[in-house]
Amino acid sequence: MASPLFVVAGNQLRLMARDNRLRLLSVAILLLAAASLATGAARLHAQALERRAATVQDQALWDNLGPINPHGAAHAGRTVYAPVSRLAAFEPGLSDFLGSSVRLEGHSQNPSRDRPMEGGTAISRFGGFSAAWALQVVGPLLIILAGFSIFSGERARERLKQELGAGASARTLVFGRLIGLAAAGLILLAAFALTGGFVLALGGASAAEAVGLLAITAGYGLYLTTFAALTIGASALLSSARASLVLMLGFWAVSTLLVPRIAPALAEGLHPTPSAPAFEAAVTDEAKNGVSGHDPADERLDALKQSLLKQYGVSKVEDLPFNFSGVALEFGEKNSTDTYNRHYEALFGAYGRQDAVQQAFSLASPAMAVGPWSRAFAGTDFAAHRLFLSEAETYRYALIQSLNGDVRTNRPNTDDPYLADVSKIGADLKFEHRPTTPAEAWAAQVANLKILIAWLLASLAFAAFAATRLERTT
Amino acid sequence: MTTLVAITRHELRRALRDRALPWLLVLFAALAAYGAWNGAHWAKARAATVQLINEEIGPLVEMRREQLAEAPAGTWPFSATPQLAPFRLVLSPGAMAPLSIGQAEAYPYAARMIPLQDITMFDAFKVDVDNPAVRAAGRFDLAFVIVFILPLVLLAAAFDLWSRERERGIAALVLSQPVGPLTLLGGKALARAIVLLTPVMAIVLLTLVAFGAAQPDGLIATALVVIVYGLFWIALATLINVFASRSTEAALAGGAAWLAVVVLVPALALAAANVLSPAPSEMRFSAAYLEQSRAIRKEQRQIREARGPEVVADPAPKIPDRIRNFFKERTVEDQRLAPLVQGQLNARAERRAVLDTLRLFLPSVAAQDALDRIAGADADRAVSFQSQALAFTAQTKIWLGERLKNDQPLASEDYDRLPRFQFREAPAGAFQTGVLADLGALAFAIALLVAGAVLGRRAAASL
Repeated sequence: MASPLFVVAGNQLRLMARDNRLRLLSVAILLLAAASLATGAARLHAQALERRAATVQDQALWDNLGPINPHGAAHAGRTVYAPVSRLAAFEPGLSDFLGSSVRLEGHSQNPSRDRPMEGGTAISRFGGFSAAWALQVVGPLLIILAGFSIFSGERARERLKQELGAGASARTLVFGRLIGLAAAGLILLAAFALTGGFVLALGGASAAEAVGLLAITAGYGLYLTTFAALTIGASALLSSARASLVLMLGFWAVSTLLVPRIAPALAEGLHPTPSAPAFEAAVTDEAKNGVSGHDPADERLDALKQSLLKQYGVSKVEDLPFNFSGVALEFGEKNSTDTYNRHYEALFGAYGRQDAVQQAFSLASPAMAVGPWSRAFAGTDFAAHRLFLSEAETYRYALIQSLNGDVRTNRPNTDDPYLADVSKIGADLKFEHRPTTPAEAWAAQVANLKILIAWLLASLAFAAFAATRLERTT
Repeated sequence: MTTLVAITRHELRRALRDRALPWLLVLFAALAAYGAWNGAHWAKARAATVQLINEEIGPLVEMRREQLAEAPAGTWPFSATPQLAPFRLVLSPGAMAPLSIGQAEAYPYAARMIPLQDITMFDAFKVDVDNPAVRAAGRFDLAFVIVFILPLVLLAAAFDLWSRERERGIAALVLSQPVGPLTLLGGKALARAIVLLTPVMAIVLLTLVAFGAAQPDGLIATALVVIVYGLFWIALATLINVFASRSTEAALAGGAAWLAVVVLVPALALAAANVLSPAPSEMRFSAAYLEQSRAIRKEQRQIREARGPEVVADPAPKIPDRIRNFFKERTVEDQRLAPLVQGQLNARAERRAVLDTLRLFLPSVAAQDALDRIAGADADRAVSFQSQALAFTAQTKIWLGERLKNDQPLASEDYDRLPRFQFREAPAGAFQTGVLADLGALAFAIALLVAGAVLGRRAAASL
């Protein structure tokens, strides 16, 4: 004989399945999400092809520079292109706000550029619909609409009296219906995940991407179950369906729409970041005058020159066994790179502090925890982008210093400038990218998982409290 | 008419007694103030950045003057050649900037330029170093409060305009009086509009003035947008009440309408536009530009090398002839690259035209667009800056050509007489064509809702 809990849950599911409005709304949302997945996947495929073609074109441009001074080649520079995460079709995350390429050149650690958000109009502020967004914003709304009147309202209260009179406990009814409501949410989630999985499989997904999708699904499972428990709790606690609806819609609006907008603005206010020109000016100033502001790079280079002259026992740079211009270029590059690294570390530190402020807001909204979780496993968060930036920088520094090294080892014997075939100089250097692994995402997101679990436990406790009150008041 | 006035008066008294109303308005005022503070904070930061860029000129000119002063008499240092004259072209935030950040972050707002500069002069201002997670969340400015939150406030206060009477069984009594359902609903809607939109408008205007956005025509235009957009939502609530017989039903319909009008339909329209009329690839353009530019320069270098060493005229001109040749080469390069550049500019314009047309069918987007334009944070203003900057570069090339032709290096005093860039705003200001089109689109949407209510008047009378 089936447990009464599951009998109640089964009945609740059947009741919801008979509600045409809910069925229609769920199917509509699922279809929209599927359409967004399909168009997103097509867009990503086109982006991946475009970036691959651009990479080939960049290689050809570099190889065809012809005889050129290596430092001139360092200024001509190269471009590397950000990888495309297939899971971005499901969870675009920050993709539209991250640059898709980085221009690599001497003296500069350029920020990434060509962000898809550029060049929009007023409607661009309304973008961002995706399967993950639907789960984050529309999913809870559907659960609220399906569950706000389960116990509240005149008819529901009358039915409840009869059910309690028939021997069922309020706790069984509350948790049975919670299982039913949560199951409905999880069925919708499973449909999303299967559609996502199908689209991923068509694109030839890797095992890591499949694990990523599973982790995202699990995160949303916790999130939607939390909303189901809160809705059932509110419905059991408030006898008026109107009050229950207003309370839950208010919570939904605050947690899924307001907090995700207010928290970043507050975080930015508390831990401001500089504008790009101010950042560049600060780097230029420090590279020129040193960290203390009183340690000019010219003097440090002069000290290096003096020590080399002393080491080789000569009185002028022309007598050194290598080209001092190359040494100066290497010194300059190291100086500017160290400066950039310090400033980027400070900048990313500010990002981290902003993210911590936003995470604190997850106490008011579980959406603030599930969003970063979802983005991390989709490889569309800043951590994934930072990995790309760091790999680009490692490659840039190695390339530029190999060009400068070539200048150091080749001293022209005539007044003509030294020219070289730079395609051969950096031939052994390759820009290689590896995507973030699920293990890395897990390590970075454990705190958000704990927050989601805490939300679920708190919402279950709320439902249990509401069940106790219901038992007492009915 | 007298009946309508009587109903409106009665409803006004009832609405003013609504205990939830002051709380809703306080909430709206708090969010509006926070939004405007964010907008003002952003505008201040952008103005400081613009100033920083402008100030880059000072040390550069100072350095050139020092080099001129140090040059032996009768000689001209390389830095005196006019093709190195530095320019900074900037787009300052508009006078009503605290209203909306809009698209101001999606376009370059400055250019570092020398007379032979090409379209890449905007590149440095296409990048940002702020947290993309913050940017992706969307800016919480006053326009967001008006476009996204104001409808929720209006719906919360007007969702049960008529359904409550029906639910309580009072509707039969009311309709037994000599009054039609439309007049009744019209009076109720009018009263709610007056009670809600008057304080909302006052809150928006006072907040703007408090945060330094006090341009009179901008304030009037903002007030108009708030009223017309607010009337759209009151009309929508009225239409819902024509058909909904229970308050819960009306609340659900209101919520669904908000979700559709403000969130889902614009997002889907944008997704459809992205598929049917995708944005031209900036990455492909940059790569093609670089490739063609290098090919042209390589060709020019080969011609130069084939010509052999440069013959220096006697007496030697103040500006070496190789600079004049360089100018000629860059001019040829510009001409050869012009079709590629123009093609990209056209493709961008076509894409914007598609997106701009869509807004006329989407009330929330029309309201956002109008507020962006009033704030000077719209795409058209940013594109106009780029066009004016490119036109200024073209003029500066003519200026350079003249100086090279007349062999006039830049003397110290010439730096004070360099051509100056001044951005020209849209002549009609806050009442530019785009804003009027947005207001027209909103008025048309209201007319459709009113027509819907008139057509469904029998449903309003059903009990």
